[in-house]
Amino acid sequence: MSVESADLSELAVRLTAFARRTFADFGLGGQDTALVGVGLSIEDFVWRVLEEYVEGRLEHQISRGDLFSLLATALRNDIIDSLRKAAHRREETRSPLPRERDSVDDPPSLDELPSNAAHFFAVLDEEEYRKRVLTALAAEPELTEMVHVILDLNVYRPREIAAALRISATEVQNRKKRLRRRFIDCNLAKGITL
Amino acid sequence: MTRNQKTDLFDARAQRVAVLSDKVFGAPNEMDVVEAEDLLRAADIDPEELKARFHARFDGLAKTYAAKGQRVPPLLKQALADFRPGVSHSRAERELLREAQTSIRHLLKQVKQLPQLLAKLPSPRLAAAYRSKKELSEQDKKLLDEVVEDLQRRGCAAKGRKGTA
Repeated sequence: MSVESADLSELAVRLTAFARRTFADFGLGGQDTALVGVGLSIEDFVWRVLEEYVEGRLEHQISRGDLFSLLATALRNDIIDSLRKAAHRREETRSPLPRERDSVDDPPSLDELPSNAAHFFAVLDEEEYRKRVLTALAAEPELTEMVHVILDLNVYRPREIAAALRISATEVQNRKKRLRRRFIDCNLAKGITL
Repeated sequence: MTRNQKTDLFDARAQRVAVLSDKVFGAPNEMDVVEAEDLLRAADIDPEELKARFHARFDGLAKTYAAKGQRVPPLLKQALADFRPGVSHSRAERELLREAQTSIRHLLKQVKQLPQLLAKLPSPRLAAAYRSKKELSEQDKKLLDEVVEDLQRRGCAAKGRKGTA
């Protein structure tokens, strides 16, 4: 897709859906999730990348691929940056020493970390990620089978997946759509709000 | 572990999750606009309202440029056009619509100019050879004479209009 023919409103819709997927990838759930510490919502992240693009701070060169891929990669990197900043901020406000008894002003100690702070690091674990994906698809044997093929046989091209599952490449694309939908929906219901 | 090392480790692990995600769910550009709209609606997000909110943000950004006396970047102008509320067509569809409107306007203009264009044509010479045809009755010749007179009258009237126009 060339720069000239790209409809920005369509790109924004696709970016927002992709941001939801990225939030799900990192276990950031809930309808109006905003990253604590940076205070940015899904819509804010999409806006930041669109703003950078229209102001010319993020340039698209056709040799680097299509415009949507460029914006989506920038969006995901921005979410990762913000996650890291939020994680560091939480860590810096916590003392390695226990608080004095009755202290109200001291920062909480590491052993007082709430479960969702530890979540920052757990979501970056590949095994945990696999588990989260498979849990989201528990009621969908066809989708679970496909994920096992992708991860265990390390195949990801539609034709390779189709051959391994003995289905058509079109069916692979249909199942991938269902996969995305199921994962995002499940995250909306179960994800942890930071 | 230093802060830089922690940052590197965090980024490396996050990127591995991103790669896994692309393997399982496909590259970002595999999701088209129809699928994206369905996903948003499932999360109770109206795509048209979302576009309207982005339009408001772009409008605010354009105003900050104007307030500073700076030129609005071309891509920002494009964004304002693409996100304008109530515009449900894609840009390609809007361009086709504009082309069709231009063609119709051009055609209507030509239709309006038709009488003037006809008046520019030289007066037709009307043949009178029928008068020597023996097969025609006097009544037929009279009818044909009337047609010739009528055509000549119309030709004169059109020239008269052209002269006064």
